[in-house]
Amino acid sequence: MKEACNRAVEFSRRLAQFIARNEKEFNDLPRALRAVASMGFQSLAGQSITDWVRTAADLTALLERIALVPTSSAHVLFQEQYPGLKNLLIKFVAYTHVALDESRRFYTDPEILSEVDEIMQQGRSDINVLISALDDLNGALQARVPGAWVASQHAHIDQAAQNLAGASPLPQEARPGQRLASKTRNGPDRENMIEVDNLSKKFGTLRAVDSVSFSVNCGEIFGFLGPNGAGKTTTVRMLIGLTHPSGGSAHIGGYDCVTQRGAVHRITGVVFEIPTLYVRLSVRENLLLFARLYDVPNVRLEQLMAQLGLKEVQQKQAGQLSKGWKQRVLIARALLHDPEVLFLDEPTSGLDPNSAKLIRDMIQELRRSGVTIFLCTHDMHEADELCDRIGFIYKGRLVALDTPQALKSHGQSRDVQVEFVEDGQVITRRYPIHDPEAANLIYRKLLAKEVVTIDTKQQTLADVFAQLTGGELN
Amino acid sequence: MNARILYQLIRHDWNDFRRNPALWIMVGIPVLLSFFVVKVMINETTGPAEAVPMWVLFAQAMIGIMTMTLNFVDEKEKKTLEALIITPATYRAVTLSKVLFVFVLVLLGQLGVLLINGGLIGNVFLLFLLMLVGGAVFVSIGLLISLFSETERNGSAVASALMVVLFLSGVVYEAFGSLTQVLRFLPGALTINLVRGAMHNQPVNVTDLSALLAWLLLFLLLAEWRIRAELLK
Repeated sequence: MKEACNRAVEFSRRLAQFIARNEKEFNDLPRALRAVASMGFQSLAGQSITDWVRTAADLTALLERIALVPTSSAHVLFQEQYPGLKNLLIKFVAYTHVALDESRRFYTDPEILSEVDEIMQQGRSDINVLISALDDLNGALQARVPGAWVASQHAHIDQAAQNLAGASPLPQEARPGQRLASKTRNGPDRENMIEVDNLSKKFGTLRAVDSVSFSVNCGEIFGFLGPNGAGKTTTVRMLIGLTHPSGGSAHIGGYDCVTQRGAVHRITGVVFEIPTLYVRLSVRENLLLFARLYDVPNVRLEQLMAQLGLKEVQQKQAGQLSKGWKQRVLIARALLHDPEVLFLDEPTSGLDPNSAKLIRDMIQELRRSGVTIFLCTHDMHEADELCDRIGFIYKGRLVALDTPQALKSHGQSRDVQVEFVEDGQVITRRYPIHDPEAANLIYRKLLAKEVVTIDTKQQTLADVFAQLTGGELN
Repeated sequence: MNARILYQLIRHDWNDFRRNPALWIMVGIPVLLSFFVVKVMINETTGPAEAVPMWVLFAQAMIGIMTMTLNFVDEKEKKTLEALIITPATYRAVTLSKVLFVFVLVLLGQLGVLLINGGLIGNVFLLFLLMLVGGAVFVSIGLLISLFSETERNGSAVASALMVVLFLSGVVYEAFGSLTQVLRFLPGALTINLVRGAMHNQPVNVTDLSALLAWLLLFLLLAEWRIRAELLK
């Protein structure tokens, strides 16, 4: 339950950020969203964590789409999102029925469905009616959960909104509760989902990881980039409790990676570089084993298999699958228990381009659903494409840590490359982008209509890595 | 330790075992071999009490050492063990599940040998007790080999060698003259003598039984020490 609350807090923070950013632009929409979010928190009191995450994912997808259009089109999007929103509403409406017990089938209950349909019909004709209906539901739900807990959720929304630079705090009427004290150090810490402090590992005289310190924010894709043998996998193994550190400390979600391994394992999923599957068992049996160990219901297994396209190969022996399919099974296995942090060790290594793209798309999708991703790779293109921040590790030491853009602008400015015709030949020249000589040349050649191509050339992550370490990335 | 997790792990071991013909053969060989050889051995002067004990030992050694090693080291080598221990299943739980699973196989193997060769004679209660203790000794030897081996090739080589040595030491230790008094305290010789005594309905040799239990304790302590070292790696 504590874990679920923290997820709710994290989601509310994001939602509040969104609302604060768009409040002026979207008039009444934030009110509706706030109502929906508020209901989400309260319905959590009786929800499973899986359901909550799904709810959060539905809402996030909805928010992302609405953010792109003006208010006048918002209700159209509500209609387009009908199935997702409907499911959400079903859940909320279900929780307003005091007599309802868990055994009742929410999604097929005629009473609930009819109420939801009514709300949706009203929402189609007038968004304000929908908002009002949502507010009513919100009010009904307030009676079902402890007031202090609801208040704490609103306090977190307010706090997050105020933390946004330049963002106005939410209107007073949206704050029914008192501000609560911030979370304690001993509790799970979701601001920095992963915290690593002077982590070291020695094998005999070899320092495989040497006093590495960094932190990974909640919901971030963090790339750990370095050549083979740089210490990436050893770091990950220490984080997930497979290797005992020689020094320093590491925490995931506030849990110590050495002394609270059980708790760390509950909130993390790992996709190993090598396909650690039971080759004699079928895909389904492989997943079933882990589903039983995590004690997750079969419905979650079915859902993941459908999501990852594994249904068609579920009876196949894992040993007969191609690497791409094996990787999908490994990802499904790592996601079975809805982890908050996913470790991916070279997830696309050795895959064909199509499979690699599928895995990358999946990583993006996971990030959208709020999962923090720790990506170990030596593929600079992959890191550049996917990661919010990247740490370079070389010979066990963290040599740089920043966003891909900031890393690429390290040391030198961008170049401009010009191809032009001179004496009947095509000549290629490259200059720093702010070089006056380049400007003169390009201007002259443009006037003379002798320019063939002009390109800006930026350093790659591999260039920067080479500058910083003197070594090769791949 | 969580009983539900343990049950799921044992269930998984059974699932994997069902699909692994090599392990089936490993369990079946002692029973089949004993059937043919004991038939030849039994005559007017040699009854089941003389011929069967060595096959009980063979079942313990072959199934206990070989199956345990192959099963566990395979998981280590393919890194599926690591995948398991980052779930709610701990290293100890995975180890215990394998020990229990192989222990059941060892018991079944011994029972098969006794049943097929008319060996359930004499002090049957003591015989069962010796099956349990002897089986545990050889499974713990298999566990120790597994804990020290990183590859299946190394593990199976060591396991095969030890299995042969322990089996032969039990069967022919009396041929070593002055060394006999030392060799008779090896697990193989202890098992054969104790089983033979039980089948002859003789009172239990407390010294031998204590020695066998001491071996078991020693192996389990060594395994525990090794597991701790593994967890701190």
